Amino acid sequence: MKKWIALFCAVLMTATLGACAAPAAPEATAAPVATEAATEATAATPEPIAAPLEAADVQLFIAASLEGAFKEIIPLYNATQPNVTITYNADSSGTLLTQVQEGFACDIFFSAAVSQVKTLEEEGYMIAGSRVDLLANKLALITRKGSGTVVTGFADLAKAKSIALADGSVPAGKYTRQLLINLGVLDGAKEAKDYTAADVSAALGGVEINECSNVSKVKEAVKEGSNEVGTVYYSDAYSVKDDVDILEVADTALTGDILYPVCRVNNAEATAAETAAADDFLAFLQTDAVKAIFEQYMFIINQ
Amino acid sequence: MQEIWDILKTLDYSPLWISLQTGLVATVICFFLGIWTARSVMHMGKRAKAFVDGILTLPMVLPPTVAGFFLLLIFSLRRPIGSFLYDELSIKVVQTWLGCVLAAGVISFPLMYRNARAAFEQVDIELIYAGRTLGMSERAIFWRVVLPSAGPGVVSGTILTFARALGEYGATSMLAGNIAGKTGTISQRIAMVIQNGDYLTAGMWVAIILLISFGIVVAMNVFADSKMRNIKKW
Repeated sequence: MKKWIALFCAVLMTATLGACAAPAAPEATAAPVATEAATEATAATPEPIAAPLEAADVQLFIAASLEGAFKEIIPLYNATQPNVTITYNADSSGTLLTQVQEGFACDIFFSAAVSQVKTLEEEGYMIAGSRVDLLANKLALITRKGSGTVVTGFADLAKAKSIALADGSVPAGKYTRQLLINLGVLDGAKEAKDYTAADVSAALGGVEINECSNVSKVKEAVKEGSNEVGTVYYSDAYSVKDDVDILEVADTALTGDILYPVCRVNNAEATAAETAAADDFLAFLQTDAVKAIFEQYMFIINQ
Repeated sequence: MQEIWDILKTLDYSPLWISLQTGLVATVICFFLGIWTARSVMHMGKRAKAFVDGILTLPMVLPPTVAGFFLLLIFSLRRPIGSFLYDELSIKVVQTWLGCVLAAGVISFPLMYRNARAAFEQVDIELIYAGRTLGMSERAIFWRVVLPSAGPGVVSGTILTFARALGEYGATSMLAGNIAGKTGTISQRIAMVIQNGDYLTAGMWVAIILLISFGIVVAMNVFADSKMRNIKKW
């Protein structure tokens, strides 16, 4: 008897699974946050492209923070180039770099920092001259909406009760420390990334610092009110725009350029059609229609 | 409510299938391999046993990303083993679903192996002697005497293995990548949507994976209970 109950459960489960998956069309779906933006973006018609390309599969590696934008960009591209399949691998730029170095097939690499693309170039993975510093970001000081903070910007950061700060090995943490050096808060005796949270706290007169291992945690700490203020990328503020206020966006003169370069990567497995499609997609990324999508995600167009 | 329904209707369900297939295949492989390994290790000498056991448990100790990195170094197309598999046998582990299975399998294997071994070591040796006296072959003894009496341990190992394989993240993202529709598992999808601040979709996926794993674990328990009458309740 029990056996039959178990069997019945198993069948029921399989059936339910089948049912809930039936309406799903893979790759055709977009993130719900993006739908509103998508309709606006399609209104701006993409620049006409001459002939449809042959069927090809393009391997796109993107930094995780770009995924939302690409969920809109890829369908837009497929509207003019239906034969080309863009397959993307989204992860931290560091992981993506390791994967390319270990022989993952990659045609286009879109990094959240310059260093990975530099490595690709130095080690001969990048197709020479293909790098485009397409996007830029800025450092933003955020607080929870209605937190009543007296902090108005980076200059009076010392007035905060607590600050969420990415650690020095994280780019956002490094840029924040660089900014504090340029503001004269930190003495500049060592490299920006080498200042510990205790150093920063001491320089700010003993403000409590919540040291976070990545920017998403900073964002959460501020959004949930654990910390009064925090420094994140301007584009990060997009995903929490209903919950946080941006107090100040740092001038790049204070942080140094924060660039998101994209480049073509040598892919030994690529056919001629795939190479052509990858080149075409990289060109497409530089069109105004695509730039408009990136801007909706609060990236700054650099070139 | 309407909002939730809308999300469920437009959701790309590919991570669900990828995760389920990965979890099931990895569990089946680990089940047989774990039992076989547990048996083999049991017969080793003391020192060899301690050494081999240590190695087999390592994937559990290492952070999954590090384990994944080692796997990547082994199966990398730019390194001896990976390029041999690819050139000679056309087996590609990196950037494929096979990579998902391998990563999930390696990470969850110690759970199966350890539980199976502990269970086998508890089996009453008199039963095995009795089987031999009655002229059963060693194979028959294993399947018809040892396995049933080690049942509860083996089942718990299988359940833990499946649960771990289904939720694998770190090693998978290193070895197989997070390729939407190909190697993008539920865990990786959840990480992505949280990064983009889409908590509602993340919540949906969490609910889906919780329901499925709960359902499967309950079903396995019911099945195991009906199969094993020798479970002692005290």
